[in-house]
Amino acid sequence: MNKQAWIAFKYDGANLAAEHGGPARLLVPHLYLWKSAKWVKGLTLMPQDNPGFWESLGYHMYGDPWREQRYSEE
Amino acid sequence: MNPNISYLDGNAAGSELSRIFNVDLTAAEGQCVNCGTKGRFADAHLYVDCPGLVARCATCDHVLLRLVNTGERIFLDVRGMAYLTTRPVQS
Amino acid sequence: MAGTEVLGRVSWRTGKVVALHDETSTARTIALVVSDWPGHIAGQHVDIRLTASDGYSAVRSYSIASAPNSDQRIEITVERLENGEVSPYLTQEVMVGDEIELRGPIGGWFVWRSDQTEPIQLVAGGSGIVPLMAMIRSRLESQSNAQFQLLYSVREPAAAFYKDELEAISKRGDSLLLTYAFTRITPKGWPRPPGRIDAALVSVSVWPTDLAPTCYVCGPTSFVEHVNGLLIAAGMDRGKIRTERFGSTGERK
Repeated sequence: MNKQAWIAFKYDGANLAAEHGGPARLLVPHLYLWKSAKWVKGLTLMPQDNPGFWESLGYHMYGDPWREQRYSEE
Repeated sequence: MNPNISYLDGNAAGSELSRIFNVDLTAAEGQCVNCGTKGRFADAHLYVDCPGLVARCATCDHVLLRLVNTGERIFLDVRGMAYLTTRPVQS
Repeated sequence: MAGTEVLGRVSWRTGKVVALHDETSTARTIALVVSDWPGHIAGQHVDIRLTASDGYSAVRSYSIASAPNSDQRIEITVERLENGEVSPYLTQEVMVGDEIELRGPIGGWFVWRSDQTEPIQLVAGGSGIVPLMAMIRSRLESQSNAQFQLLYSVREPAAAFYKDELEAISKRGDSLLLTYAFTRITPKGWPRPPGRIDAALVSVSVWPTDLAPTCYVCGPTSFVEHVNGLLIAAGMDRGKIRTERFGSTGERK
């Protein structure tokens, strides 16, 4: 992972609770929160970007809150 | 499967669905493509604390329907239901 | 199902507050007159929208508590939730004369129509009583002879809505069988210790399954799942049980 995205599995010294995405979740603080997927089972690195659960239904592929990229632009 | 998540039911999707459909769909019957269970849409488990609405089969948890309302567009995915059936509106 | 479905209404209307009535220390009934109100069926709900001066808006659903009538007047009963975005305003700040934006009526399944003649079993958990009260009031209004029974689960007597009205209706002898289930604190001398509804209570306070009643269960999700399981275990026809879940906090978005 580069410096900006995390896999989080502990909070305040304790294991991350299920309702907050535990045992392991993605934490991508520079993008909208829906990008920080909970309950991560694995990571696949791909050469091209594919739309995920929400990106395939109107949400933005990147999701930079500073540029208000909530919804896809078409 | 996440036992700590609380869900509502298809009744709570009434107003969003009424933006697209002229008929109230909460009373409609549908069939889950995954497990084949037939049921009322009102009985589906509905998750609303997310970027859109997600309705899941009460029997097998398969995603029946997803809806996103961006304000300018509504996106609807109903691939999780083999069909929905209801009486048409009488004119 | 006979007749046409009532269409969901998408457009926002304005309702004027004409009366306020505290049901409990945390719940209030708000009566609204809505000038172009299309009418409603017992069990339906409205969406209420509050908009702050900075444009931020929040929408919440509230069941209509009043029976269908031709007066363009509806009542909703709102319970104040601690971290609620809308309920604190509705229960503490709204005044008679204020205008509130609302949309509806919404819902076509969790409804009782006065042409239904079968016995009706109502089971309410906390604020889940609201749409069921609309059904009870609708039954009276329409002079229906349908047999109604209500099992109403609340923390303690002080938390129950519509206490006096329910008592009056149940005393009439021909209208409503009423059983309370108190989960935390019971009145003095109450025959049943505090606790949630269980199979034993269901066996004595719910219509026998051979009457083939239609059941309406409403309240927080965990309550509805629990009661649904008990009714099915008691032999109720799954297809005749209608449910409406209010979420773990009792609030519907």
